[in-house]
Amino acid sequence: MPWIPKGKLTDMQWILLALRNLTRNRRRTAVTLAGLTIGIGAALVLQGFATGIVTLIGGLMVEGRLGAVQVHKTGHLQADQNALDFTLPDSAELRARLAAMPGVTAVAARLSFEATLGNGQQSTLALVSAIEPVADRKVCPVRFANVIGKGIESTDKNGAVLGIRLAEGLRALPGETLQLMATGPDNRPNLLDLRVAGKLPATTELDARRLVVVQLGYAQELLQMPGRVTEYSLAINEFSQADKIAGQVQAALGPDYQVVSWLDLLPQIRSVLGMLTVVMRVVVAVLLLLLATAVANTMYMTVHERVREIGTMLALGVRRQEVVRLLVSEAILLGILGSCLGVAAGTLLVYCLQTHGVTLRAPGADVESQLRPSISALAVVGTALLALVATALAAAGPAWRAAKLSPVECLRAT
Amino acid sequence: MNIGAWVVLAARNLLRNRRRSIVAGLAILLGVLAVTTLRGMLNGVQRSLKMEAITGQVGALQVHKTGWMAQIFGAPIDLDFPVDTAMLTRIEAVDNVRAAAPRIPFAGLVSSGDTTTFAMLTALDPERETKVCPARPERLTSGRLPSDKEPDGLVLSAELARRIGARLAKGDAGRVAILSNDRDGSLNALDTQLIGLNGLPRSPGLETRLGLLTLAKAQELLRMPGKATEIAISVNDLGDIEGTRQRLQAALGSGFEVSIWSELAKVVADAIAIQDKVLGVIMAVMLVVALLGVVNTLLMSVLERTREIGLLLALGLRRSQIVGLFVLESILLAVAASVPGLLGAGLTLIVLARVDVTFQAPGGGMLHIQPELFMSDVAIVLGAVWLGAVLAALLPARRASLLRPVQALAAV
Repeated sequence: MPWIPKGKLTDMQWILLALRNLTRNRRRTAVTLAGLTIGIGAALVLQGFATGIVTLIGGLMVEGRLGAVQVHKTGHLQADQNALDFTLPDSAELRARLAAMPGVTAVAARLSFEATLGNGQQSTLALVSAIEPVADRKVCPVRFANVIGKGIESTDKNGAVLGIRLAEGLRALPGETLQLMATGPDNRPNLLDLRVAGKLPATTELDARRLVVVQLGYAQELLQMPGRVTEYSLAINEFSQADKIAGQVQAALGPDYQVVSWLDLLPQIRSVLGMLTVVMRVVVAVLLLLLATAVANTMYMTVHERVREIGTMLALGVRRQEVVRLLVSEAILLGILGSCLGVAAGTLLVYCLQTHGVTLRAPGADVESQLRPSISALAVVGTALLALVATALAAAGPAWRAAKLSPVECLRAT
Repeated sequence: MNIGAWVVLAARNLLRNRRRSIVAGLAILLGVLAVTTLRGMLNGVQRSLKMEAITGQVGALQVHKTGWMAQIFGAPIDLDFPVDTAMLTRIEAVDNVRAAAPRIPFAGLVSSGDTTTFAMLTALDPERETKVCPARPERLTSGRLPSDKEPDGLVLSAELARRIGARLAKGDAGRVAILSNDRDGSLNALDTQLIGLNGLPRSPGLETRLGLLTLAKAQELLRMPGKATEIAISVNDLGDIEGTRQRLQAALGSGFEVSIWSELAKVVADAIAIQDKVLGVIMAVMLVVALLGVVNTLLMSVLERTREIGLLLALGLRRSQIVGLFVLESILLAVAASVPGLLGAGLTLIVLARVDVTFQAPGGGMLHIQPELFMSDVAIVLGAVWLGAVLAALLPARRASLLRPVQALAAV
């Protein structure tokens, strides 16, 4: 190293020196890099799975049942027995207004209510969702994806699709006629026949047991509330923006309306996802700690190996802080290389899993769904940066030790 | 050399560079600590979910007439059978069965004032039920369960009571009428008094629109004296549940079907299975990352000790003995690091057990987590780490064993 004594090195020269030091023991660098790659890759894949679970549950609930955002009359969601006193007009003007809002791609009206479904011998509670078959296809495209029998067609005035356990419980076969009884806002019970068109395999326990899907017109006739609906559900262009778009629509509509995202409607899923996030953070933190120990170990070995060399540097007048800097640069270089490899491996694996899908059955569901992990650029960059900070911190200990060495003793060491 | 001498030699080698061994050991320690703590917490979660289902609503096993499970949700009352003390005694005589309680689950309407709504009602034998589902009283947010002293008592989910405007009070405010079709299809009514309110179940997928009344009153309402449609059973040892099922099935014959809690509370069983899989993946990843540190340390060690290995080979040590030495060092390191890791996890879990950790169960109430650790979990973690340590040592050890004595001795 003929140029060391000649005054200061440029930044570039320091980096080159650090890089050379890394290539001195390639096998060790390779094993450390393998550790960093696996650790960072795994952290990314785990986060990808967490996001994938949100998308999976969200997909089932949003595209199959709820819509991403719902607009209700203020008071409707808090009401219990008198829920049908809070309704909205079934108006083309409101639809057009909602459809024109930023981020909203489709609008469908709905009437949701509780009713009693009977087959003449036994009857049971049903949660009825009355839909507009054509408009609903854009808001909930996978609603009838797994239906056994048929979905609901516009021409089929009194057709109904039942949750599978509900259908089994009432021993209802496709084509059979059942009676739906519901109390309208006038407090008078009304009864109307429906014909079973199909049954839906379980995606959630509750839906399998209670859900009945009918046409909007049928429900308006049953409840004797023509021209009224309980909610509009909206499809949006970006699934993860549901909370934000709900806020924007709320601001535009004013206090007469209550706008909620699908997560507001499923608080228990919000809590599960919150817990999942906490667990994932803990796991990622532990992984980073493990990576930090791997880097610290490598750096201790480096210092140990190069005691004489460090002594020479110090004896030649290299400042202690420069020794620290050199060693920390080596660790950071390792971190950068490892992060790049880890990010490459992690995103590649996430991409492969995304393309192939991981087959999974949600708790209580009959049908298998494809879990498709995905990861945002922000999460990738964040994880890589955290890994860099961890490696730099891990190098601090060994570097400090090296800086405290006394040149004389170092040179005497074997 | 005997095995003891080899162990001493391996330990000495590890102590030659203490700092390095400590850092590599630290990675294993951290990994074991994190994985074991997570497993312990998860055991607590799963136990709560499981016991809530078993002791709070379902029972460990249930007996129905054949055909019931196919239409479990409909809770059909026409699949009934006569129950008497003789039959229950016969069931309780089966090995591992602790108690049996007859029930009639049925769908009906509950009505107070002018509001009527639907409820899933369960008729219980008050005395026998306490032995099968002892946690039922804990779920009450106020009031008490119906008993033989209050045969017309009714418990409703708090939400359900609020819906129909019924209150826990003497007189009209607490009067609730139950309407249901009897076995022949004609509608009957029963007057009851609301005496207790039920909170949300803490396990997902359990009935939330619940009503509880006495078996005697329900038999009156449904016109099915002396009959029931379900027998819930508790056991002494949950581990032997499959064997108990088979013994029960043999004792009862083919007219009945015996089901396990995991088939009756499928959501709970499914959720537990998924959690186990996820934890398995996390554990594998952490183990691999921690063990790569060991690989690195040993590789370094081989490099440093090239001359020494050459000398050992020159003195007539076999190559397999060199491999054995490095594997032994790796195992010693893993053992020395995983034991404090386990102890740390144990301490963490004890602290977490003192602090009352709760979380909102999906679709249910608040769940209290009592962490616990089984010997089998400890065995799996230790087995994986130690086996992994052997595998991690193989590459460096092979490299060491392939050295040529002459060249190794010539190395600097």
